[in-house]
Amino acid sequence: MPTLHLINKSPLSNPALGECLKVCGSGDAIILLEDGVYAALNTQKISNELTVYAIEDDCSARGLTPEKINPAAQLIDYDRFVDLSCEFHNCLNWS
Amino acid sequence: MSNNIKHIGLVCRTPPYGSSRARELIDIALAAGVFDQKVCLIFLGDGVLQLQSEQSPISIEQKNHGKLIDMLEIYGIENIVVQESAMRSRNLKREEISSDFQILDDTSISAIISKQHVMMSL
Repeated sequence: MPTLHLINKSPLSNPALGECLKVCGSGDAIILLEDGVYAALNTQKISNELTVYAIEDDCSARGLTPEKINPAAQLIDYDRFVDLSCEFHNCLNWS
Repeated sequence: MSNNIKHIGLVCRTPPYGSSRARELIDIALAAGVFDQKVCLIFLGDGVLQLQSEQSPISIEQKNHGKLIDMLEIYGIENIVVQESAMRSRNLKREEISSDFQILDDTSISAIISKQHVMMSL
């Protein structure tokens, strides 16, 4: 059953995202929030086998305008975040 | 009460002593074990360092985390998984780890996570 992974730390200074990706299963999705949104920078690689979302408010707060963001990451608002939390079988917070 | 039993996956990702996270997650596991929940403890990344043998934290005036790990079985927590790649990169030998623990690759750990009712990570 698919899991929704929540990442709130920058991948450049914290191993959370790397550890998450190692055990991510097919059908799983990742939501980048708080400092985790730096993983959506277009300097970072995002596998096209994964669904990746980033909280738009956290991106804009940090100056990550849409053109600086990897097109593989979908920008979402909090309502969509809540919907996704309900859609998935369970959530794993990698804080 | 049997319908209240859940499969709880707990992911340990921090080394012992540096913070209270490692200890707190084991406490959660022990508490869940007391209530007859099906706990699966998963040691990932730096979390595998909790399993280092011959810990002697008397020098830093802390309780021995290794002893706490040894208690898991007494509390009925028998499903303990250790990430093989994390052990390898930290030079942790199989002999140092209890033979009751399962040493698994990333794909097998992913499959275990997908089977849990609830997941928590510290």
